[in-house]
Amino acid sequence: MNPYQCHGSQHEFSRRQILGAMAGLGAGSLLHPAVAEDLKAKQKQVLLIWLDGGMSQLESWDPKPGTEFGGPFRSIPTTLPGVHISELMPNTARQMQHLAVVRSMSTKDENHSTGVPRVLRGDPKNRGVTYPYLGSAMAHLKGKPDSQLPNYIWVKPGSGGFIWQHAGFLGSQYGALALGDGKPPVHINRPPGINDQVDQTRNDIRKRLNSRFQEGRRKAEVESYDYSFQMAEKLIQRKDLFKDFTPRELARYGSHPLGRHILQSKRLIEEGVLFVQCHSYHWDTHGDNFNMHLDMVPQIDKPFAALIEDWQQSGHLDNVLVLLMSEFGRTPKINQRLGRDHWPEAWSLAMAGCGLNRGLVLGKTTANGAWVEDQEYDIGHIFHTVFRAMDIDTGSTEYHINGQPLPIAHDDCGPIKELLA
Amino acid sequence: MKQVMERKLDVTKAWTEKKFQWERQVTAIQFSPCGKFLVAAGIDGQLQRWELASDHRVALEGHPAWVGDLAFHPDRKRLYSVDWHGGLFCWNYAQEQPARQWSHVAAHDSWARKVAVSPDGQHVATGGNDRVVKLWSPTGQATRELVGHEGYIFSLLFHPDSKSLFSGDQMGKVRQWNLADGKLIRELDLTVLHTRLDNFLAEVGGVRSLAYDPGRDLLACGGMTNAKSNAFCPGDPLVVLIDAKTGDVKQQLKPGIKADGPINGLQFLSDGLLAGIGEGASGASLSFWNVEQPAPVHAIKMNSGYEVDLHPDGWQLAVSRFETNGRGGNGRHSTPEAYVGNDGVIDIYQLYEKPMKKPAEKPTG
Repeated sequence: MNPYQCHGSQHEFSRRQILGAMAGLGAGSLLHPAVAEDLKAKQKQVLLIWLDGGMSQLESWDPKPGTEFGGPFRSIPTTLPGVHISELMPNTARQMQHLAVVRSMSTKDENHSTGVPRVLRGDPKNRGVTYPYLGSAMAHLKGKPDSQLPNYIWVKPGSGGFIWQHAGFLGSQYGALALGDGKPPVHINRPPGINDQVDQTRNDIRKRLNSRFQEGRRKAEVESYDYSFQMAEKLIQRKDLFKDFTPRELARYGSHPLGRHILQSKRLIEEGVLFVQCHSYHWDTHGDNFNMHLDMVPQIDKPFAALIEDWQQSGHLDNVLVLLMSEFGRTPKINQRLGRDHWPEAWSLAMAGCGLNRGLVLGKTTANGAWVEDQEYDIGHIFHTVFRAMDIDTGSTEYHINGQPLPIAHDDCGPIKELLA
Repeated sequence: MKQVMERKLDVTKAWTEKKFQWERQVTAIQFSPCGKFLVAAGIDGQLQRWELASDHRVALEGHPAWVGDLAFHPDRKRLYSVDWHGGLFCWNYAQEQPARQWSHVAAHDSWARKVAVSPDGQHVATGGNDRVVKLWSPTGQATRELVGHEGYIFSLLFHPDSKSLFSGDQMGKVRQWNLADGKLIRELDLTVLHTRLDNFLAEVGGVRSLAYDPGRDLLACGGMTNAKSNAFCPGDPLVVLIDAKTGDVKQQLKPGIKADGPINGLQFLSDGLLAGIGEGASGASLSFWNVEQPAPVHAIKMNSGYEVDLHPDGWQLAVSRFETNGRGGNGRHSTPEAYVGNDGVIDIYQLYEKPMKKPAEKPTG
């Protein structure tokens, strides 16, 4: 197999790249502790927790018990007087004073294949170019080229790799480094038989071969290999980022994949990664929605609440914006398999930290939960709000692509003022 | 001289005499032992009682949540129902306007999914998400807790001799309990009806239905196998027949018409056939099996189904199924005013050949 060959959209690290990346390994962090502390104090960061497929708003943030579409679950009080959420989220209910929940999201796309990238790109106006995902945008707008860790890391189930496609028109260097199952790239440890001298030699050979390979090939594609190598090189010098979690951590966050992946994301943010996207799949409950949510929602409730509580206590929540969302919600109407289908018309998301106002529930849906009744927001509003929370002025900041100025968020939307301090 | 046609049970000639419709999906149905009523419940907090002779409907209101199941007492006076907030209710269902006799609003911690009454009328059993099977006296005194299931209780069935109880769970286990001392008699492995792949976020499947044929000592366990995901939850509908004397698997039954959901309802008929109904994203079937063969001897295609019950006369089979109410699927497809929930329908099948209408007599003269 040609190690340079693209295999689908998610480029796994090749053995050659990983072995090559072992060059010049030194133990421990390259960051001086004082520098790291300074970075933590100043840098604003984002953790996006993405429940792919669409968590039901009626079984989470916007319950409507006893109504036509309300489902079987109760609602429970929270630490915000008068605000109730689903009984499936008892831990989150105790952290509501730190959260801002938007119950009136209304977006345009009811399909996964187009809806996921559309939402993660902020659904900008069509200008004939491919906008970057939020993580790539942030890496471009706030990332430091000399950062000792990748600016955009994607913790996800399944395979890892370098996902340059997220970068859109920004160029592949702003793609996501995906950590499959939250684990470090394979072959993170240099084989015992390879000493520093051999490692340097093979690295030189790698560079010469890469240079020859680039001749006559598409720039973006070839560059993505180089960036993936550079990112892997940064990451494998931080094996400490992937040490085992403590029993206490697992007890608080859950030992299931989502609990571990949120723990891994937390660790990456705390060590200075600018933007981490933590992904969970299979929330697309067209069948047996209520039995599935009964088992699934607690898997986000526990680690999400623990994260908010921990970061509130540690102070990280002052600088880190946490965003919990999906590409849409689920239909109020219950289908033939006792499932719920895709519903972009009225759904919910939650945000916290990074200076956003806390203890808020914005927007309102109709009594049956099907439609937005008040304060309708699109994903463009969320992008504006996130950028502003990250000290990026969406009014004056633009992308410049081939001389063309482009807004960084939908120009018909603006930040949600109630959320901004 | 008036000719009387001899009626013969023949599922291949089954026909629907009538149907009842309700504005919510109906997941539990049962004929009353007196044969006069059909009671249904589902994804709202009500039970609906229809009088079969008149089609008159009366609502039994009071449950605070979806009603998971219902069961009649053989004394023909009491009806029990359980709800998804853990409640157990007892109703004097045969009254003109039925009323609640008593209730335990927290009979179970979390959902109470199933209720059953022993044929001798001495025991009421309930089971739910607390993984406990509870036994009650007919008057509502808690008498025993049967502990040991590792998943939610999805199905309950008393043995026809009223000496033991079968309980099926989410993880594909069926436990048989001795009612005299509450001890576990045996655990049957039906894990073929449960799927949890590495990338699943939840358990999928479980033992969704049970039926017993006393003549042949056969226990039928319904559900689905080979679930592909925890999102759509598609799988292969399956009934596993157990020889109740030995505990061995005797046969695996599959519907003859394509479907992708669990077999939710099972019922042995008087001629030994087994009727079963299951869910399907794009339709399912009411299947009738001769238990010696995997394929049904007859199947009727219909919308996704939830339960079957045989009338005490043995000729009528009630089937609850999904009925769409406007376009479903992803997205809105309608105005807010026209966006309403789907319906539940109960078809009453007559399990014999439909009598021919007498031809109109030719006018003379």
